[in-house]
Amino acid sequence: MNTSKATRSIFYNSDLEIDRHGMNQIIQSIVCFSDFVWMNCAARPSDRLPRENKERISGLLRELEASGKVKLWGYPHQKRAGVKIIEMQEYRKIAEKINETFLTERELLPTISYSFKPIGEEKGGIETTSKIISARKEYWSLAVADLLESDRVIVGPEYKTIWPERPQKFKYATAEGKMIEKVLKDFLHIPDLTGLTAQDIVRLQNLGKPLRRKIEEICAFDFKLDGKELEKAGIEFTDSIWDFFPKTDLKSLGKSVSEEAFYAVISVYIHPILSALPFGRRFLDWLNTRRKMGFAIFMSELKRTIRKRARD
Amino acid sequence: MEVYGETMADAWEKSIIELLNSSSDFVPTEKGTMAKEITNMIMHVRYPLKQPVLSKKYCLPDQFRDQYTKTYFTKYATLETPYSRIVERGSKKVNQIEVVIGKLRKNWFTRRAVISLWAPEEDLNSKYPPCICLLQAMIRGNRLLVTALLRSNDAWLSALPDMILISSLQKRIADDLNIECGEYIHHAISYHIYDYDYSMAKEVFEHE
Repeated sequence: MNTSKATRSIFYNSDLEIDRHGMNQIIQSIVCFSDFVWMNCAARPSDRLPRENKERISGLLRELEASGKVKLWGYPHQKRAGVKIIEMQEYRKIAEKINETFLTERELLPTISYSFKPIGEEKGGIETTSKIISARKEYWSLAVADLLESDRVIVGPEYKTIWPERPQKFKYATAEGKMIEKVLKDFLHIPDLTGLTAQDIVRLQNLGKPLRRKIEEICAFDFKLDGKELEKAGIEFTDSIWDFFPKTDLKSLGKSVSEEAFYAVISVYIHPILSALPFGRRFLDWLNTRRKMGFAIFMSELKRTIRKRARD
Repeated sequence: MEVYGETMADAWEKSIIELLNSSSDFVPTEKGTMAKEITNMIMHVRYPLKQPVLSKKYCLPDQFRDQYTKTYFTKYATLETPYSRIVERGSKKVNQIEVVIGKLRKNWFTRRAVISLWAPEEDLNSKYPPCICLLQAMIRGNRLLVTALLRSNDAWLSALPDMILISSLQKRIADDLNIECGEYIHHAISYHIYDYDYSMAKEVFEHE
C-alpha cells in the first residue's frame, strides 16, 4: 500500500511580514512535516526585526529557496522569474467560485466571524465588512493551496485565540489545534530554530524522515501504530535537534527559552463554511480520513503511547 | 489624493484607476495578506443619487451585491435593525440621526451634526472594529452635504457598497429636512486593494 504521496508540501498562510514566529513556523514545517513550503512571493522579513536578524532571515529564506525547501508562488500580477504564477484563467475560476459561495451559502454573511456569532448577537454588531474580507482571504488561501497541490496549511496565530469562543455546534477540526501546540511543546521540545543555517535545516529534515515516515504510516493505516518504533523515531528526532546547537548555547536554549520559542501550530483547519467551497472539499476529505484531527492525532497518539510505556 | 465624479460609479472608477496607477507599495495588513494602498483617498461625488450608482466594473455579481446589501447594508441604512452605534449610542441610547436632524433644523449652518460610529472602549481591542468611523452632515447652498470618514476601506469589495449605503442615509436626512442632497464626500484613510483582488482589478481596468 502506498502510504504517502511522493512529496508533501505545506501552504504558508500566515503573515507575509515574517517575524521570528513566522520564520519558526516555516522552518518547523520543513524540518518536521513536509518536503517544502509554499509561500507567496511578496513575503519578506519584518521591518520590526533588528537589522542583523532581518538580514539573517532574509539570507536564510533565499538559501531555503535555492535548496528547494521554500517555493514561491504568485498571483497573476506578481509575475517574476522563479515564481510559480497562477494562470489568469485559473485565477478567474477561483474568483468566480468564491463569489458564488456568497450566493449559495445563504447563512454565510450573517455568520462570518471567527467567533461564529451571528452578527445580530455581536456587541455593537454594526460592521461586517471586516469579517467578509477575512473570510475571502481564507477562501483564497485554501483555493491557492489546492491549486498548488499542498495538502497542509499553516494557519495564522489568530486562530489560537478563538477556541474559547466557539459554540459547541461548531466544534470541528480546529478544536484540535490547541492540542497540537501543547503536544509540540510537551513532547518535541523544539527550540527556536531561526538561528540554524539552511544546510542544518536540510540535514535536520533528513534526520526527521524516519519520524515522518512513521507518521504517514499511522495516517494511512487508520492509526494502527507500532508504538515502540514510533517512540524510537520520535526520541531520536528530538535528540537530533539539540545536536545542532553548540553545547555552550544549550543553557540559554534550555526550557525557559524553549517555552517562549513560539512553536508552530501546523495542521489543516477547515472552517465550517469553507467546506462549502469546491476546493475545501479535498481538504475536508483528507481530514475525514484522519478523524478530522489532522496532525493532532499522531502527536497525541504518540504521547499516549509513550506515557503508557512509561507506566508499563 | 482627491478624485471628483458626477456619480458614485464615476467617482469609484476614478479612485480605482488612481490606486492602480499609483506608485505606492503593497503593504502588510492585519489580515495576513498584502494590499496596494493609498492613504487619504478623498472621493467627491457631485450627484450621489444620480444613476448609474453601481459601476459596471464592480466585479461581484449582481446577485451577490443584492444579497450583500439586503443582508447587511439595507438593514443598516433603513435602520430596521437597532444598530446601537447609530441609533442607541451609549448608556443614554442616543439616536444620533434624530439629534443630527434636530441640530440641522435648529441651526441651518451648524458644523456639529456629527454621527460617530467609533467606540474606543470597544473598538480599540476589537477583532472587527467598524471601518466607517464618522459621518458629518452640513447644509450648504440649501443642499445636504455628507462627509464619511473611514479608517480603512477595501476599494475593490466594499468602497462602492459603503458609498451607496451612506448616501441612502444622506437621502433620508435630506428628505426629513425637505431639502435636496448635495455632494457626498468619501474619505478613506487607508484605501487599498488586497493582493488576491489586484490581478482582477488590473484586468478589468486594463485600458484605463
